[in-house]
Amino acid sequence: MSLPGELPADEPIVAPAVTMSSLSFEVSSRVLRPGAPRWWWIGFGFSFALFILLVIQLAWLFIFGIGVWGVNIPVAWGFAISEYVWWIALASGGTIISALFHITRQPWRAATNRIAETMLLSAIPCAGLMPIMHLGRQGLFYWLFPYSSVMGVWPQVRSPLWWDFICLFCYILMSIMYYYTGLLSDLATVRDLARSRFKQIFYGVLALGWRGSSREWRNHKIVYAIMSAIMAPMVISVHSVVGLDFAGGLTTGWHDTQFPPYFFFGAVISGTAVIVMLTIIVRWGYRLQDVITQYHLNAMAKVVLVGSLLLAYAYLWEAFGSIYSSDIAEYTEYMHRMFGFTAAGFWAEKALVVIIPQLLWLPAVRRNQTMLFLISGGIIVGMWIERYVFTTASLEHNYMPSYWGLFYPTFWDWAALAGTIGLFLTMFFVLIRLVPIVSMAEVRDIIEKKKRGEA
Amino acid sequence: MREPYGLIGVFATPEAIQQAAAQLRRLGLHGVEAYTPYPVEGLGELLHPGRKLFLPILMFVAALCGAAWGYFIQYWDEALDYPLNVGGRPHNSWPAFMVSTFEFMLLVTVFAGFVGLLVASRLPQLYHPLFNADEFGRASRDGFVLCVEMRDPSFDLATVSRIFERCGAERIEEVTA
Amino acid sequence: MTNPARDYWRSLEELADSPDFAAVVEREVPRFRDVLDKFDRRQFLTLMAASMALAGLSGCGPEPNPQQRLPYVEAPPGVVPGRQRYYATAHTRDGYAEGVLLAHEMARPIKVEGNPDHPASLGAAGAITQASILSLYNPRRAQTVVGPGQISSWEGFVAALYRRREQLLKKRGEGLRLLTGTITSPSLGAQIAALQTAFPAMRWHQWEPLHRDNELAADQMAYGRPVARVFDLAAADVIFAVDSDLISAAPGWLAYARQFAARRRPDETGGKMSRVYAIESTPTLIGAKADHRLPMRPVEVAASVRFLAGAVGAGPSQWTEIQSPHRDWLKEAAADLTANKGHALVHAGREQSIEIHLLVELINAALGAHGNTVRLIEPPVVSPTLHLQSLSELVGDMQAGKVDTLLILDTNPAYSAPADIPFAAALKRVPFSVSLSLFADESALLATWQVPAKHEYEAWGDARAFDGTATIQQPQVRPLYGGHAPSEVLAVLQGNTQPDDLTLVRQFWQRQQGAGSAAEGNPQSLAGDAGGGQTGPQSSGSSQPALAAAEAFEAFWHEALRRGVVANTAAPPLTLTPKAGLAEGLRPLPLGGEAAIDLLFRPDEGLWDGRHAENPWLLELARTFTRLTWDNAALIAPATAKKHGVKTGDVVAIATRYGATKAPVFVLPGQAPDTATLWLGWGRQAGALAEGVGFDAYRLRGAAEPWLARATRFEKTGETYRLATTQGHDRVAGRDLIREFTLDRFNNDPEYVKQKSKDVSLYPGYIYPDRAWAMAIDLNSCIGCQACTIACQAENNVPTVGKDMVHFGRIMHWLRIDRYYSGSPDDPDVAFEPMPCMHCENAPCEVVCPVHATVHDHEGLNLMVYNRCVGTRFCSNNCPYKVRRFNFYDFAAATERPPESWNPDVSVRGRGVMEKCTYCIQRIKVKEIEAERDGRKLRDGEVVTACQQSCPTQAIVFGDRNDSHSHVARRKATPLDYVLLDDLNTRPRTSYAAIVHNPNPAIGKEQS
Repeated sequence: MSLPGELPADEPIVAPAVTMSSLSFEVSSRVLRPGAPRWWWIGFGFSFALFILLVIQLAWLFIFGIGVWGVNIPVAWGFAISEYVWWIALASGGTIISALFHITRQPWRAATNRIAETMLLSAIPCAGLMPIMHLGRQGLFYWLFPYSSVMGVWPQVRSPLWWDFICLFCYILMSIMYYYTGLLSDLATVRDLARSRFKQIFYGVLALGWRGSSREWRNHKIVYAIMSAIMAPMVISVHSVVGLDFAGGLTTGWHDTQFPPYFFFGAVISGTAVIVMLTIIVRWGYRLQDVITQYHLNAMAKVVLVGSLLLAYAYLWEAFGSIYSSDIAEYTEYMHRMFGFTAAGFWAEKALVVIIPQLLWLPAVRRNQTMLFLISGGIIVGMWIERYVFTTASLEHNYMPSYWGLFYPTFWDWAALAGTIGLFLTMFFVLIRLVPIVSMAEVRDIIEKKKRGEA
Repeated sequence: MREPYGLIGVFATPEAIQQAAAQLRRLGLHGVEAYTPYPVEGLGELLHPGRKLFLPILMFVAALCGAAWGYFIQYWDEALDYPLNVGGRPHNSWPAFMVSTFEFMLLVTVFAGFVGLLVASRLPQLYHPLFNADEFGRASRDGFVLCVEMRDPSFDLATVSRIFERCGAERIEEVTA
Repeated sequence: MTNPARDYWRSLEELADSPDFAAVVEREVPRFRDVLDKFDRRQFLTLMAASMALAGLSGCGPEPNPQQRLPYVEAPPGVVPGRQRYYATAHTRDGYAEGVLLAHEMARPIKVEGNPDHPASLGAAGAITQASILSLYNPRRAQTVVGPGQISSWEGFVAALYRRREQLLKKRGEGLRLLTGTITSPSLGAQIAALQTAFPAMRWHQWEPLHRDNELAADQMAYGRPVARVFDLAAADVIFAVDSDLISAAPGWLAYARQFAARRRPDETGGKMSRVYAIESTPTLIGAKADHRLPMRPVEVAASVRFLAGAVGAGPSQWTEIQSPHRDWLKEAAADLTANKGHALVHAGREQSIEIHLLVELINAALGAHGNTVRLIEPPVVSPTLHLQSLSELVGDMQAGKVDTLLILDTNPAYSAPADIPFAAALKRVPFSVSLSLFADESALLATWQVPAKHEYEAWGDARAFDGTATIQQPQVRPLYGGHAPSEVLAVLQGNTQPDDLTLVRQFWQRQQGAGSAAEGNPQSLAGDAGGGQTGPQSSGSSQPALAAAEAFEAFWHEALRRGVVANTAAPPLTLTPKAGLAEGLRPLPLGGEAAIDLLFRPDEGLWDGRHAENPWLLELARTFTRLTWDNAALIAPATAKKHGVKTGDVVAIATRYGATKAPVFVLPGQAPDTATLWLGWGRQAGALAEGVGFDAYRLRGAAEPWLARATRFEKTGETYRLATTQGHDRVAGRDLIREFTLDRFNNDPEYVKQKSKDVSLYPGYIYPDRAWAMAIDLNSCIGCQACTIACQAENNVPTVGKDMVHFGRIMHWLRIDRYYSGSPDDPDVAFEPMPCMHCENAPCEVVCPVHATVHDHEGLNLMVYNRCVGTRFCSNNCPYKVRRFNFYDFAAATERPPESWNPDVSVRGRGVMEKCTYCIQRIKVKEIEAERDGRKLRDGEVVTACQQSCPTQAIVFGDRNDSHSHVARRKATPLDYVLLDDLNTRPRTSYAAIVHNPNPAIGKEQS
């Protein structure tokens, strides 16, 4: 797979050999070819095993209650919530790549946005599952829906948790619609190339009879543009509201006005990082080096770098605010975070998310897929640690010294983490098997523009 | 018996189809539609002139309704239907209501856009005569297909096919419904 | 209730009305399977049905006819669901009575509360007393009479004992021995006296592991006779406490604590306070409240007391020439005491040596305390005895084979005897031994007959308080698991084969009243004890109305039962002066050898001497200073820990001349160096909950040194042990949680004292027009006794969670007492801070709940709606005071207690629900409804929360803040009043009164 980065400076956005027809056949064949390649089966099998673990974990959790986790008083939020934030951040990355860079007209977005959105769709269920699992009475989560559920009582809409619930709810629906809108024409392509009756019908129905008429294209263009223009602020709001879950609370280390942007920066970096990893895998696995080129990886690596710088800035402000503020509670909490029980995590996270990514300043590193893969992986881990540290450490050293405590995860905490990763990968592998993994229509556009020397 | 639907010409380049489309328009023929693997710039305007504001307006109105709906739910809940003293906050604590209002607005807008797109494009439409054409599949890959419907009384098979040929149609085919 | 065998067995027992059926059952080994084999399914179902019916019945309160067993078809008048009725009785600790009222709901006792009319309670009740209700219902109580080698029955036992009696009568009681704990019960005393006459050769021994031998011996030296003391702390301006249990364990401590606290509230006493000095080897409650406290080794304590004696002229003046770093401190203290002659009081704890008790007596005499702050009275105890001597004599005779019949009534020497008195071994040599006990404890298992005892709340009896006042104990419920009273067992020896404790007690008091003409209303005379015969002043009054004796007695009887106090039974005062020349006669002090560790044996706050080891509430009660649950430990000073290279949780091997054991170490600030405090009562060998929990300190305890032993070995083993404590951090870490001032600061600069609060808010505050419930907690009064914690647990159905869960940080107590240290770890200042819900007006918890599960009501209560809670736990994160508790598991269902024992007015919370202090909303509502019914406004003090009610020092006050005349409003009006974490602008309804110290200006802080 990894061809180290001795490519010419002007990497082509699409390999010259690629024509509209070759593109269509290549990409569609990945979906239509009977049976799946070996690497896919290995990946899927591994993911599915983890997914089974999630099922067991859920059963255990529902039978015995969340006491099986390490959460306690004062640390009433543990893995579940920090991982919820983590998953949401990954998901948001998908929208950022596809929406933000669509309205900013980034040509390289064309070949990668489908991977990004597929990742997004696979990550959202994991994110959604976490807060439901962590409820004391999981079966009653629907009481958060805005209707008068019990004795005419409504949800309490001042709660950041409710905002978050609504955000996530809207985000899921909108992402699906956005994804589908972008997918229509490609489904048509697959439909037209499908030979087996079943696949013709399957994709025929999914394509809703899309024909690519100029009227359809015009409407599509308008709607898709507006949708992108909406999804961009949407994703920012989603992660900001997740930030408000904490900033809205009256807890040391959480009660911090910079959380919304801070969290969004986290989303940018971790989301892009995971897309980089998946892109490298898919590109290699599906032999799509010609369509998804070094150019894309390079561009995304730069995004990662930017994210890391933004985050470094947020960290600085956090430290400054906590140390410089006259609030003794804030101060002791931050000291605990830096040098106390969570010190190891604290510094590891800073190294993985801020220090190491600085390597991406070097073009050589950006072009070296192995390096890129490892750095991105490090960032994902680092971001997980970061969420974990600030969720638990803040609660551990709260306002009431007599009730300081520590959080020790149990086996089932880890099972929940591994299990959701399983769910995520399982969904991802299934999706890349079912839908074209590159947005062909947009790439065709680029190919034609290239012919005319526009791109 | 299967009555004819129209005549299609398959072109290799966007320039060709644009040229052909322009000539057909000059004949004043109706029922001319182009089918392309990606949005070819100018083609839509050429075949369907006039500003199309339906979708943008629809989505804007939807946005307003969504916001209103979002705020009202919360206001009704906290201030009208079941007012409670929550942490000493006012019943209508509007700053706290803003976030969800915003989210509702976006949700409704996107939903309206999605539905609007399908309606305006007459989708879903799982059967269309064009699907009978052998070469139509290329329209979703690498071909640029122009179709003229025969309903139009002024439709003349010879003229149209001549225009197709002149503009370099790789293939010309009659489509029956 | 986990073990089905017990349930079914209990059902059968309860069904066993018909003797033949009883016989059948008693032949059977009490196991479920056998029972099934015995009966066919239909019969079994009948039994089950019957047992259910009876189980439902088991709670019927004092009935007119105790034989009657019918369910309520029509409820008797007065039994109204949701309406509580109160019945007075007494709970005894070390034999001394603490008057209580039991709250009955639907005729089931559900809660123990103090009896305001009782001198030893004054309406308050300690943690142990409150928890006794759980022991009453404890399904693990002994339920079967076990004879030699097989299951037997009460009838079987009576028959056996009666046969025994025949033989004993022949030998005039030769070989018959009685072993009891301390007895204050006049009727029991009389019964024993009667036995003594029937069996002249019989001997009565007493064994109370927490005996007061040293005090008694000292009194014998000083006065040549046993005396008891009643202290008047209200009159004491200066108190000098020597390792004192005055406000924590001494008989009458509840009353003393109240008097003590009343003198510690300068805002209510016009800027005056008592001053307290304390020297002690291990932290005590009074030491924690002292204005000057010195931790010192026992040898130094002895020297210091001598110094004091010398300084106040109670001993040779050369005693004041000691080399001690604390010399100046002691000198100033002595000066302060002398300056307050007549208003000074010195008190030494039960664990101090005979010499110290003697000297303290002399010092008090010299300070003119007698008659002012100390009153000597006739001891309420029936025939005070030196327990150690008594027990060792008994064991000696047992080994010598001189004992063939031994009745062990309600004491457990097989477990609690000193290690060098081999009671257990000797017991095997007694052919006929009976153990009457609440649980199948160590002694019971060794005795030839184990007879289940009635719980105090199931039996008729009587007991005296610390001042001699007698209480007639009436049963609150039919015996849940069978069982019998000591008086019944003794009655069998007297030849009564159908004994009935009601008749026994009644007859005794009838005799009293009958003999009233001889010694009016003063049963002392007939109690058959050493101090018999004298008459009190109150008996000279004409307490007998001119009525026919029978009617008079009925009147007396009902009044006594109703009030829970027998009028005019307080012991008469004695005017005695200590013999002269005692101090001079004392031998010079032995020099305290260095390096070795002094082991201090102390009663456990919860398990006491081990008798409450089966009580989960007490096991899980976080101990005052250590915040330790479910374990005892060797408490050592930080310096000592450094010296031995150990830290909390390390296991050390401890040995004395008498035995050895291993114990985890707990580093306790304020402990004296080179000492280790060991709590007694743990490490039981018999029992279910308590078995093997903690370590057994009795194994180290010898008859010669019952309270203080020199460790022959104290070494780190390298093992570690997990201790479950409930407090995360010992200091306030810069928060404004504890506010402290000196008395003259309070008197001269109230502005400085006042909390500067900036009451700003973006929103207009809510208006609470009619009522605004609020609580004020006075930190000066709080002595950290934790009565409130257990009261809350009992009232609000708070479940216990077990050691592991406590360790996980999932303890459920709604009301905890935080303990903060300041100053050096060797001799820190201690502050106690009870933490209920603050009921903030701007409650942070409510804003973040997404489902309206916690909201405010119109009176400002922060409500918790269990049914609506989905368990996001955000409220707990957002609570700065961390007073919210979460049901991580189904704790309530796992709690081992019968359904009828829960408080029906409070919903039992299920899994996954948040809960917290509600200001006892159920009590508020009851009173509101009553007031509404009578069409009047609620009176101040009408609504009393459980914690407030049980608090011995009245530290907690609850009421309507809007009513400016209410007690709570007045408390909040003082400049001392402050709220926690004020800068968060949560506007708590619970506020605190800052601590005020009254230091002796002559003593520099660096010394005290």
